[in-house]
Amino acid sequence: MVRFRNLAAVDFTAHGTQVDEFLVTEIDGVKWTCIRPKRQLTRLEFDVKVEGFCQTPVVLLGAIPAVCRLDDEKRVWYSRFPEPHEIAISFSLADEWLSAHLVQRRIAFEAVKSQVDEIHAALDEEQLESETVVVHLRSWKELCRKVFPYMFLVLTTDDLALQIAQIWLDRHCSLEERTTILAQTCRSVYVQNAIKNGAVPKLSKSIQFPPSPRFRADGHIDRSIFLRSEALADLVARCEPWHELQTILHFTERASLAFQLSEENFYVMGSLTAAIENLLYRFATSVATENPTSLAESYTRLTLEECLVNIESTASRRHR
Amino acid sequence: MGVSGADHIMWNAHRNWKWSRGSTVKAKGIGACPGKRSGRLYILEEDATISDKVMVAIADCIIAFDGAFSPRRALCARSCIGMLARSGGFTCHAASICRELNIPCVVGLGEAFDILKDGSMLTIDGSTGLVEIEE
Repeated sequence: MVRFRNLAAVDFTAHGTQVDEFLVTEIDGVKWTCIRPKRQLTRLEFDVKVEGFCQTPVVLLGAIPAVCRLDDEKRVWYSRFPEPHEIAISFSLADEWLSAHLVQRRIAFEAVKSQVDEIHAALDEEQLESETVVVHLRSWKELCRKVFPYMFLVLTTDDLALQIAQIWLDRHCSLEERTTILAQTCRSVYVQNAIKNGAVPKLSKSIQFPPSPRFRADGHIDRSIFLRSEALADLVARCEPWHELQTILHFTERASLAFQLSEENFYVMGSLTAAIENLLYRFATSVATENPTSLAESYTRLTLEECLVNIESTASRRHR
Repeated sequence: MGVSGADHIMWNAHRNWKWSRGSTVKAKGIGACPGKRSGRLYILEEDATISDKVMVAIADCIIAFDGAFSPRRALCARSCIGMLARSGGFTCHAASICRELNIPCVVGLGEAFDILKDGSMLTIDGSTGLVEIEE
C-alpha cells in the first residue's frame, strides 16, 4: 500500500489489472517478472526489442539496466525492472520529470511514424531490393531501443493512474457521474481517427504471416481533452474545498494523459509491426513463389543479424 | 448456474457478482461507457465470420464477446446498441472504441459472463456496470 503525502492510499496490487497479466517467480534469490504472459514474442522480435526493454530503468529512473530473457514459451521475463508503482508515482506527481520524458517520447514516436511512412513508400515501389529491407530492419531495432523505455511510462501503469483518479472522484461523485467524467476524459484522437478511417488494427503486437493490413497511426496527444468534459465542469462548479478540486483536476488530467499515451503506444507500434510484417512478406514473396508464408515465418526464428545475413544471401543467389 | 432464489448473491474470483430476484438475473461488471440500453443479446463467437447477414442480425442488438477485441469485432460495434465483454477494464480496447462510438459498454464481467444466453432480452447500464437479464 502506497500512501501519498496528504493524499489517498492506493493499493497497487489491486488496481484492476487481471491476475493473469503478471507472473512472478524467484530463481536463485533473483526476482523475475513476466508482464502479460499471454503475449508471445518471436526470437527475431525479442532480439530487436531486448535493448529497449533493458534500457527502460536507465532512461526512466536513472537505475541500472534490467535483464530480460525469453523463455521456451516465448514469454519475456524481466529482472531489475521498475515496479509499476515506481513509475506510477513519478507519472502522477513529478511534473518536471514527466514533461522531460514526454518531450523525448514525442521525438521517438514521431521517428517511428516517419519510418512507417518510409516502409510504406518502399512497399509501393514496383521492386523491393534486399538492401532496402536490410536498412529498414536495422532501423526497426534502433527505433525500438529508443521508443521502448517511453512506452513503459504507461504500459504497466495506466490502470494505476485511472485508479488514483477514481479514488478522488469517488469522494465527490456518484458511480454514474464518475463513469461519465472518466468516459469523457479517457478519449484518444488515435481511436477517433482509426474508427473514421476504418483502420482498427489487430490486438496482438507479435509478428504474424500472412501480414496484417498495413495502416498509418493517425493522431496526437491532446492534453486538453479533459477540459472539454461537461460532467467534470459540473463537478468543478460545485466542488469544495478548493484544494480537493485542484487534486481531482490534477489526477483526472493524469488519467486522461495515461490513457492517451497508452493508445498511442498501441496504434503507433502496431503500425510499425504491420509495416515490418508486410516488408518481410513482400521480400519472401519475391524470392519464394511457392510458399512465401513459410519463408517469412522462418525469418522470425532467427536473430536480427542471422535474418539479415539470410536475406542478403538469398538476394545474391537470386541475382546469380 | 447456481443462481436461484431471491437475493442469492454469488462472488467469483474476479470480484463480480450475480444474483436473481423474481424473473430477472443481474450481473455486474465494469461500466466503461455510460448509457442504458435494452435489447436482445447476440453472442459473437471467437471465430465468427462477420458477414452482411451477421451485421444485419446484430443491428439493434447488444453484442457480447469472450476473448480479444479483434478488428472484425470492432466492425460490429458500429451496428450494435450495446456491448458486453467477459474480460477487460475501463481502458481496454473495446471500451475505448465504444466510448468514441457512444455505445454503452460493460466489460470485465468475469464468470458472470457464463449466464448470458444468446437471444435473451437484457438491459445494460454502462455507468454502473449492471446487467439485467430477463429469464
